[in-house]
Amino acid sequence: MRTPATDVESVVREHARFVFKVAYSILRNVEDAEDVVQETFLRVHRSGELPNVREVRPWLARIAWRVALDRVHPRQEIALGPLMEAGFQAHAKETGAEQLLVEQEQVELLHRLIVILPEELRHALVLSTVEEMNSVEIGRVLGISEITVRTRLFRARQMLKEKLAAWMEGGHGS
Amino acid sequence: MDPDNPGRKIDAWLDDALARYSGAEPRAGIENRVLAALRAEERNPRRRRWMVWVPAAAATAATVIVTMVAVYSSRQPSPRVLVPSPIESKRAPAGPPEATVGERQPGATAAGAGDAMVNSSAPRESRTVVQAPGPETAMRPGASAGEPPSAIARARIAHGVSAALPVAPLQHSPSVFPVPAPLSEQERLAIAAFRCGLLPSAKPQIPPGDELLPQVEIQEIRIEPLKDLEQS
Repeated sequence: MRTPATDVESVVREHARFVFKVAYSILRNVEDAEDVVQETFLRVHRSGELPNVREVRPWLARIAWRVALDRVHPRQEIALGPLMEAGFQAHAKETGAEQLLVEQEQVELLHRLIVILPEELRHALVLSTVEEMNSVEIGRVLGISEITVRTRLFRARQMLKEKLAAWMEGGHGS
Repeated sequence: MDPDNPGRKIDAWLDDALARYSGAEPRAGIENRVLAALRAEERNPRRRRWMVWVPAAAATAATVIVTMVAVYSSRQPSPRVLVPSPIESKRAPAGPPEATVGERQPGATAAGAGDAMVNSSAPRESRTVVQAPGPETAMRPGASAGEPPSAIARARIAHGVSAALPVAPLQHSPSVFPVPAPLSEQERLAIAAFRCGLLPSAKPQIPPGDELLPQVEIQEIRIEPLKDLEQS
């Protein structure tokens, strides 16, 4: 029979990376995300509810989600123009040597598009980018049904495509 | 990717970007750092927030209690000033301190001297000392409240004390006032000296009556008859 401390240790070793990705999807900063990982498992340890939890992953993701939201700074509201243009131009003329830079700018552009989405759509879309998280787990984290998650993901993707299409029709990105 | 189809191009771009969106990895050893933090937490558990307020609450409660006790003590009656009123010319004889109003003290004699107390060898009632303003005051330590108001009222009525006169209830009415105390060293020396004749007698030295009284000559009274009436 394992002691609770051993259970926490095994959970840390098994899910620390997953918790990190959940936190990073929100904070977009490695150091901040690691702090969220530590805080998440400290809360798990203090609560003592781990032996009673059936599905650990959604439970951990929900804790990490809330901890990360408490650390979100309002600095994310940034104008898109210059970066948007740079991201598409880099993507259009990508070469092997510049692959890493293109990917970074591409992700940064996507992040700035996601930031301006409505909150309910943004949360569902961000969690969907975390690998191994399906619609059911996203619904448990957000407290909504799987169908609602899918609907929100579809609407979020449509809004992103519309923004990108409108921008490309304006003569950019070719 | 089809460069001629803008819709497909956007979809491809979105899929690619979303796949990389949360692709960051933690630095090596994140698990060990978390476990170290957990072990540190176990060794030195963080105090809960409410526990921080426990000492403050205890100190506040102690302060309130001390303040209440101080206020309550300040409201306690100060040592009473017992003044024998003009009607309080008699006092109870020396006897047990349990003597109360109405208790008979047969054969008791008063020992006080130099005050308004009157000796009495006949059985009489013990008295309650009534507090009243007056020039002569005496401190009676150890006095405390507790005598039933009815007894006080009876005592005041018996002595004709005005009802408006504040009366402090007495728990143990002194049978002798002032409370008899053993003679001091000076008093005992004075008595011994007096008995040995070292001190002059307390009797007044009155000179004989011839020396004290002035010499008075009493002349004879002569009454002369009225002349006018005899002539007429």
